[in-house]
Amino acid sequence: MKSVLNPLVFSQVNLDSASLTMLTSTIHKVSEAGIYDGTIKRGSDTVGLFRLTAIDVVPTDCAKEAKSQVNIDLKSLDLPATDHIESLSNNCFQVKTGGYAVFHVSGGAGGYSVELQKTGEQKTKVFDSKKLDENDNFIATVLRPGTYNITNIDNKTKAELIVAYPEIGKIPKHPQAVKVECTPKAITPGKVKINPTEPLLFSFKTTSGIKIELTKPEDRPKKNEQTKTIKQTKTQPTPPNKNKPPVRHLHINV
Amino acid sequence: MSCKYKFSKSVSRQKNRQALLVSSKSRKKRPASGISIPTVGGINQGGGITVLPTQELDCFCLDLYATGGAKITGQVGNQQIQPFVDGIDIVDLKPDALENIINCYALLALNQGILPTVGRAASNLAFVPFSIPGNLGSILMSASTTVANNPAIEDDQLKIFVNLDNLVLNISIPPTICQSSSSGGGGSSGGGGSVTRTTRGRTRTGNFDLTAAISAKAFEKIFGAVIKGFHFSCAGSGSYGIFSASYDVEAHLEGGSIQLRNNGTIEVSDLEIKWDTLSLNLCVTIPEICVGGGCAIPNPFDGCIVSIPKFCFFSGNPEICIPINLGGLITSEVTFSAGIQVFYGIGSGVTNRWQIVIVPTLPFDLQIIDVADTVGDLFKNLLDGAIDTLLGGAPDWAKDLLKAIVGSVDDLIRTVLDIPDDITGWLMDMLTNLGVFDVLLAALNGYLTNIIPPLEIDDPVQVLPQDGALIPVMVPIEFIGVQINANEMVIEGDVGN
Repeated sequence: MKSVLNPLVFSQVNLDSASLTMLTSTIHKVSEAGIYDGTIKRGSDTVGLFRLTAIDVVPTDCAKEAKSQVNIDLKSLDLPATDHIESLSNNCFQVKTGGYAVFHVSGGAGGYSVELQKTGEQKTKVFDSKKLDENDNFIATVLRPGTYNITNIDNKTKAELIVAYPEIGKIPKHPQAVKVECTPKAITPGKVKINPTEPLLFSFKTTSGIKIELTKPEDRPKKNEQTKTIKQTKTQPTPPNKNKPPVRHLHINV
Repeated sequence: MSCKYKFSKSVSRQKNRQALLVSSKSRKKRPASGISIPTVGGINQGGGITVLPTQELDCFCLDLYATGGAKITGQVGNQQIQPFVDGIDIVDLKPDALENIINCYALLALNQGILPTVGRAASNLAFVPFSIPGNLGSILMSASTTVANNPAIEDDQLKIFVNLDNLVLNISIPPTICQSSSSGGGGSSGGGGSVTRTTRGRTRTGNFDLTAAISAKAFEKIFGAVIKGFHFSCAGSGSYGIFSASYDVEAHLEGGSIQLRNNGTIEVSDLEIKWDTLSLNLCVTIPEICVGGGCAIPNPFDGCIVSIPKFCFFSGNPEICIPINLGGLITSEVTFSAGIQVFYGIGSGVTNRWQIVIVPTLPFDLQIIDVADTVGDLFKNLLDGAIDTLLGGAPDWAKDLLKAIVGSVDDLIRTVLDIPDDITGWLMDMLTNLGVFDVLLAALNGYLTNIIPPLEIDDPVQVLPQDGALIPVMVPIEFIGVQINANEMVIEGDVGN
């Protein structure tokens, strides 16, 4: 099947930790062993269920070995309501106790939030991607060049983000995450400058919800098309110099 | 009775006006033996058989002298060889009146009956050696005016010198398509039958009955016209390195020089291949363009505890296609030698025939003389355009972003596409590897050996057509041979018994 460009990657300019897309993901540290039921929502609608087991030792079922990171693709768990119960038993993830569950979106428009509830006699909500705290991280990759406002909607603190215009040779081959910390009083650093593919890694000292909104896009004028000859025009070759050795000499037995 | 044919004793010594026939001296002939003829009397006596008195016959010979010649009449394009006899003398035939009457009748029969027909046959042979249907071209031949005696009668031969003034061949052979190259076989045939080629040697020695020579210059015109009829078309595909390539080629031949050689071969050199179309569509799947994968939470001791999930801009590995037309940008020439072979074709459903065909001698020598300097830049521009096409629909900043991720066109060429700095050489390697040059030369070989109709002479060949109740006059051709030297191509033949 012919590979096609995913236009959503470029249309999702404003990012929100409460509405995960391909450009954002959330990390939650699973500190306690146990079984957790996960609920995936788009807006107020539940679109998927899954189960996460945090274990200290190798379990007898669900998986053979637990790792310190488990990636949970919310897109693949977005199923019709009739499949949710089955999904809860079929989509069972596990992670080492103290490890990290990484919620991401592999494709589509996204717009997901996710909650984790520890099962047991009394169900306890231990994670809500709309309310991130010190056990969580939020990762945002901002592609569109321009100036943004970063807002922690829980305490209205702000920071400025500048995404540089992409230029050949200036995009790092292996971009490292740029750390941003959200505290009750501020977002630090207050001004962040990144290249388009460098992810922002938010950590939290307070309950937070992050919004990143474009305030001033940066565009460059188009290249002068006249300097670029894309369309091939037939040109008359200059008469060859017979004294020059041939470019290629082939003896061909047909 | 009057006779308009005047006898003349004077005999012209011009070469084209010579004594045509000289008899042996008169001698007494003896009757043929073995014939059952009554020996006595010879007089019908009593109503019986009249028996000729063969023992008593007087046998005699008459010496007959004739003077005549041949001339060329008519305008160019409708010229005729006109043989004629202008005087006959039968020696010592008496009475004179009888001699005059016989001479007169003989002149009448020759000049009005026999020689015009012979002249037409000779004219056709000389001025229309092969016919070209009107829509396929035209040929114009005329009697040479620079030769002292034309036609000349000498060495027991009638010699006619003609110029090939013009030859146009609008050969409507469809373009040779690459798959149908050298298909071997027995050669062409007319009339829907088939011909099996055989070789047949000469059994006689001495002079040939028929000799025709084509000067090197005339041969060059003929062969040049044939070569110009070659049009080649081919589409194909293949792979080269990481590229999948399809090509569409159309070419014809121009220029070049043709030389006859003393070793019996024809050398065709510097025949320019005109690439009317040489389109390549090079497609390559480039690695998926993704971001992410960095470390979110490093392990203070080693490695990474949590890595950032990747996301990709495409639904898979994207394919870019670069359409490039090298037609007009490549100067190339082909050189080869060929021989002439004569086959005796045994017809099935058609008459037997002699076939004279051109047989190229392998290998062909193809030289890429020059490739326009602009090819490298053209390729880069087209690659840049191909990336734009791939990113069609994305905003400009996104195109710039993806190009920045992939790198410059030069980076893409070098690192992703693995194309060396010499883009021109790489393209030529690709064309060679895809077999574009091979299929062209195979098609040229097939064109010369199988598609060009051979020069054919029917055996027997019709000299005079059917005329009412008179059946056509057919002459068997026992042998045809061809020799080539630096000056001319000579076709020689023996007429069969």
